[in-house]
Amino acid sequence: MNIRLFSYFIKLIIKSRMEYRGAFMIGAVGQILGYAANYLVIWLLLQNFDTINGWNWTEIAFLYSLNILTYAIGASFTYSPMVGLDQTIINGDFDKYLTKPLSPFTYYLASLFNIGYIAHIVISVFVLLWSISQVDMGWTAVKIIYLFLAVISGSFLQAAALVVIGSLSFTFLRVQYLFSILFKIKEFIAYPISIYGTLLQLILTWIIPLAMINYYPSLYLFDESILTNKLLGIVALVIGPLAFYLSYKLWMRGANKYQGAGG
Amino acid sequence: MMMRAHYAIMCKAFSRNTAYRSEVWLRIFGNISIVFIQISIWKALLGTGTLKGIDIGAMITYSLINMSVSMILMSKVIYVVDDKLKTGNITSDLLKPISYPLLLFFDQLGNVVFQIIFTVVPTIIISWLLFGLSFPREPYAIAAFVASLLLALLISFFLGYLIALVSFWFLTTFALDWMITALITVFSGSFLPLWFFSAEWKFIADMLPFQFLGFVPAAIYMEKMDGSEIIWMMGKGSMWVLLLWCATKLLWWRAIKRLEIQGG
Repeated sequence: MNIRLFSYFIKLIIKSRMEYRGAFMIGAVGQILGYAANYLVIWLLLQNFDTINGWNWTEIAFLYSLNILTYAIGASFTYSPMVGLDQTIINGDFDKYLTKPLSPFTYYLASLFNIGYIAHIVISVFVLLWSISQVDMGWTAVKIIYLFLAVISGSFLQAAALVVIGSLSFTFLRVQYLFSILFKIKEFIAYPISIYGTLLQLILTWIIPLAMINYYPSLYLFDESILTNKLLGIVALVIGPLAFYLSYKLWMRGANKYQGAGG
Repeated sequence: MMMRAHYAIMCKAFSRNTAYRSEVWLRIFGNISIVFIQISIWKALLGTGTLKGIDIGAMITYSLINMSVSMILMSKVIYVVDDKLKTGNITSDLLKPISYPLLLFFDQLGNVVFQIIFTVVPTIIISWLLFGLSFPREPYAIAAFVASLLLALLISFFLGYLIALVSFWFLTTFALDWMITALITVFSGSFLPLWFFSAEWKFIADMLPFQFLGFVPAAIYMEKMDGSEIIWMMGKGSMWVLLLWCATKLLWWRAIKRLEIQGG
């Protein structure tokens, strides 16, 4: 499936959602308030303490927004298809994605694109830009490109996590609780991971590399003169697309197995 | 006779939950992760020091109690009512010779009992072994804590029910749920205790019913409130229950009229 067909699908989905513009807008406002509450709690917390492990409010706001923004982009493409996959399989509706002359992965993703994450994107971009204006990061052309690439890589990583769990639907059928575990585990990166013990930091860096989404890119942007910041910052750019590719392979393996079982 | 019917509704909800008991371990794991994250933050912030008389040990207990209270809140009743109103399945509930909110409440209570036995108690025991937990010494604190849990149940139930009824007119359950969750996040004090709020924010929190859904039970449990303060809070909480109950009564009456006009 090529990019043009993919974006045509998305255009159709946006059009149909905009039929109910009022309800859509109210939903978006609700979500923005929901996230504003999370920011507010951290802000209130830092009124008392100034910093968490040396990270001040604007730096935490940057870290937090990077997580929400990349999640929103990744989840726009993968949340609805992956969370709904087990039910789609159980209902026997998955067959229709296999019987088109298109890659089942891209066709399935495109037909369930979710425009609802626009509210997440609005608030996280707003806070991200605000925090950038407050912290002096010594912007260079390299850093601007880095931030851009870090957002893309992070989005791929967030999407990969959803795709991996989604692909388990082919084997285990019911995987909803695994998604709720993922969302709990993702709470670990809402704050700088330096607050945790060494073992957990290693896990979040190398085994479940969630820290590559926001922590290491933030470190790189705040101070790239430290060698480890630089190295891990570069790893963070690679790991997202790589993880997504592997998750795609895993998903396709599951889909092929489903075909073999005869539905 | 009536009590037996309520009890039966509760038991039915309880056994409905047992279908998902394999997920219980994962839920416990999730809860302990969240408590662990919160404790890590407080360790980084407080270290060995204190702020306004609160040290890390106190914050561990506070986080754990708040996690437990959040597991028994009924504000998600909003989706039960919403589903029934929109599908029209509510008519079969209305035919039952039992008051609808009571039916709903006992149905939710069945969920809560299940949660307490299979999630809250194991979470508390494991966290107690991992992180430590202090217990109240004064009998009056224990009694007041139990009473405050009851208030938390009732207030969360009526809030959820009220939102569900409001969304009957505006058809925006999803957005309203996000908003109410936002208010609970900030003003229940479930993560950041109201002790650490500045004067203006504390004032707003005091004007709203959300502190009963987290902060108040935890503060009572930790014996951070004296007798007169507890009585004042209990009175205030009861007023909120009464107020919310009246509001739901009024909205319910209007909603039913509309339901009949539409032909159900």
